[in-house]
Amino acid sequence: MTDRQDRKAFFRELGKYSALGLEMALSVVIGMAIGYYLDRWLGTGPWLMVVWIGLGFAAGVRSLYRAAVRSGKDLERDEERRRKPGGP
Amino acid sequence: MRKAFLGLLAVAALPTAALAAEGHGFSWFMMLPGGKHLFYMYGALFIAVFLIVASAVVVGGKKTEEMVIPDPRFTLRNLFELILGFLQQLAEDIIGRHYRKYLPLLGSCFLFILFMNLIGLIPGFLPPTQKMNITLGLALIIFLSTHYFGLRENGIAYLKHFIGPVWWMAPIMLPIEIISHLARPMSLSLRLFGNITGDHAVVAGFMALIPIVVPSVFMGLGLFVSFMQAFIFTVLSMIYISGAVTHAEEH
Repeated sequence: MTDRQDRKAFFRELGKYSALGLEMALSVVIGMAIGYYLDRWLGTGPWLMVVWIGLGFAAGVRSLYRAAVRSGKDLERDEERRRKPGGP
Repeated sequence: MRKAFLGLLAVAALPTAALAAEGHGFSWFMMLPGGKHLFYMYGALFIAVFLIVASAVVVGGKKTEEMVIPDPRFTLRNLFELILGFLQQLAEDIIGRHYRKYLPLLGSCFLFILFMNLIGLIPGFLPPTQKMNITLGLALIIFLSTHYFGLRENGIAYLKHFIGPVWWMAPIMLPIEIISHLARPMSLSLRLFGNITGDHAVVAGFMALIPIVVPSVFMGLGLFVSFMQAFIFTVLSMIYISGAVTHAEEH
């Protein structure tokens, strides 16, 4: 693996992880907004908002998990490509 | 001659006067009809026309055989080929073998955002990406086309990954997936908008404090931020598209 490819992988990972924080925060906010408007529509007090904040948090964790799985797969593939004789 | 120079000076001083009067940024596009509210639209249109004209100049009237030989010097065509070659490698790395189908969308997105960010560094212009309307529109295009590509590649089976791995978990997984998919265009647009607005505010602030040398440092930073944000937008779009497209092969 050359220096150039290392830098490309670095930028790729940087882009991926810079997305995560905002995505996790926004998941909670979107869940809260959905719950708030459902509450106003159905008139069910604060309960739907509480439930949807929990769901939003779960969605944030889900995108974190997805990114982790993906990153692991990418690293594995890079490792495999490095080990292959004749490969870069 | 002297009169013309004075006239030019007056025109150049106009932005400063307008800036003092308005209290916020000035853009030449504000001179156009309706420009007070639509100047960022004019900016985005200007960039789009610029890109179309540039690609027409670069490619127009040449045969494919002529295009094989690169230009000897550093020209506009070489710049575009440099950027697209980089994006091509990246797309092949992230999306996989069938990356060519998605490259037109991603490449034009990258160039459009990059030039919209860069025009903000020229004094007398505001970056169109400073408005949430523009960035949200771009992010929605990416969002809709991601799901369109997913449906086109995987058919109805694409909808299956919204209900999670086990069928009895579907009532919980469906809202979770919907929220996490809705968070994507929001985060894409908010990041681009926030970074460009922040960078512009920093340059403007230091321009007001010390107008001699110091702002150029932050303009260099702005150059970096412009490239980085266009790049991050494109890489994330690639990741989303590859997630939608390759789902069938993973399971």
